[in-house]
Amino acid sequence: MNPADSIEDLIKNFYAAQKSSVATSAEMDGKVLNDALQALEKTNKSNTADLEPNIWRTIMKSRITKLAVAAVIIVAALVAVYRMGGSVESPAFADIVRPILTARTATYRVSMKGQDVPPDFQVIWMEPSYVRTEMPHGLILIADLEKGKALGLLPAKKKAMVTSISGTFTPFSELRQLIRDAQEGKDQSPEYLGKQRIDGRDAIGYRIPQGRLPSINMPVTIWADAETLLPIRIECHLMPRAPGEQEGTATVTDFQFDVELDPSLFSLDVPDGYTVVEKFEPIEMGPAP
Amino acid sequence: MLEDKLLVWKLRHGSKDALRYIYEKYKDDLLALAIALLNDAHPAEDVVHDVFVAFAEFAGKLRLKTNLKGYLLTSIANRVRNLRMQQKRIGGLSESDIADPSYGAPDEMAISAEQSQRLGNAIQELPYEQREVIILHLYSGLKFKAIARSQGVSINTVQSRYRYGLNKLQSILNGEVTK
Repeated sequence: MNPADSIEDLIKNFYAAQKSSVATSAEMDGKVLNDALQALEKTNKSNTADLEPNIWRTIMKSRITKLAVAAVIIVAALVAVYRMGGSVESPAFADIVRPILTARTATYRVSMKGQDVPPDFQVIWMEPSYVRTEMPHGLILIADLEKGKALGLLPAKKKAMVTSISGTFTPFSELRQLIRDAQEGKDQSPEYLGKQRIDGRDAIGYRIPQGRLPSINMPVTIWADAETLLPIRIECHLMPRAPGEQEGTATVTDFQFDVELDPSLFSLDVPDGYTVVEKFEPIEMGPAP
Repeated sequence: MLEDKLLVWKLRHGSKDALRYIYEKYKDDLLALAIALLNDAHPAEDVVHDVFVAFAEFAGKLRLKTNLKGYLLTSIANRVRNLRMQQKRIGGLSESDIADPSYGAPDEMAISAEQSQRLGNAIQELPYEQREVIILHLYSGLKFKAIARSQGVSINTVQSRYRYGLNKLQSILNGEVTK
């Protein structure tokens, strides 16, 4: 054994012996726990008071709103993929995709994993850029992404939050560009994944690499029903953008198009009887396209 | 590890039981480390108190980059370091102001009481930076990388402090303490 090993073992034994003689006293335990529990209680109260704004900020910063419109973009991007790839022969394809491109409304469900946000929520979209997101804990987020306005509602508490969004977010221009590039054969980036059974149905898949849809800037996998060519599942891989930010996945399912929706669902006016909370900082949604 | 993750998750959601359980689980380790670093039981208890109360205070914002035990041990080491800096600033502490060990004498698990006394004294003669690295690595089992991160220095610096510390210890003991 070399001298370094010897002295290391000696020190380990010394501290192991010392540790065996150390124990907290009942008095110390009482004092520490009492003060720590008080601190925790104070923190809990503070967290409860801040719950709504925190949820709000989390949603916006976690790209949920972007994701909400992203699903619609991606659905439409599927059109471009088919047009460019030519891997799927379908004489009726143009007719099938037309409702997607011309859809006035869409609803879908988003399930999140690995992100510090509620795991499952419903999204309703209406042209040109209205999004209504309904979170499981009761928060409703309504945004006009092109005008940069947003409204948060907590019906259970009759609270409303009005805010502006720094930087407009018009992802449809990206979509138009994507389609143009595809039609002109400039974009070969989407990868055809072939056929698979998805949710019990025969599906065909494409993968769009990160960067091709700058507004959401994440890799996206699209699965569409092999017969109808309508999307059945979209998987987005959420990449960390800053140290400490988690990776995650968002799965978008349960698509419905051109559902009759009441335009009042997207009203940005504060409903009667609501108390307006105005503590929010302007929220950065992302760069203008 | 999984148990700790669950405890932290519960704590982040405001569980008092989780806080109590974490304290019971690690209190002796934390106190032992504080005593080893400070060589004095009274301020060591204060350090454990302050660290644990701060831990509870920031429970909702807790994002662990390492395991829970490592996080708490590192917090103890950081608190002791800050305490020493504060005391130095007000002229209340120097390397010669070393209290007699106020914890019980080690039993004779592997070394004799006399050897233990010599080793304990020798460790206290080391510069604090070297002593801290040796204690955190050999006693608390923290990796050099984690120690470097907590001290804000490079891993090479930590390893050098460790190596110099061991060499100096051997030099002090001068072969009188043998295994």
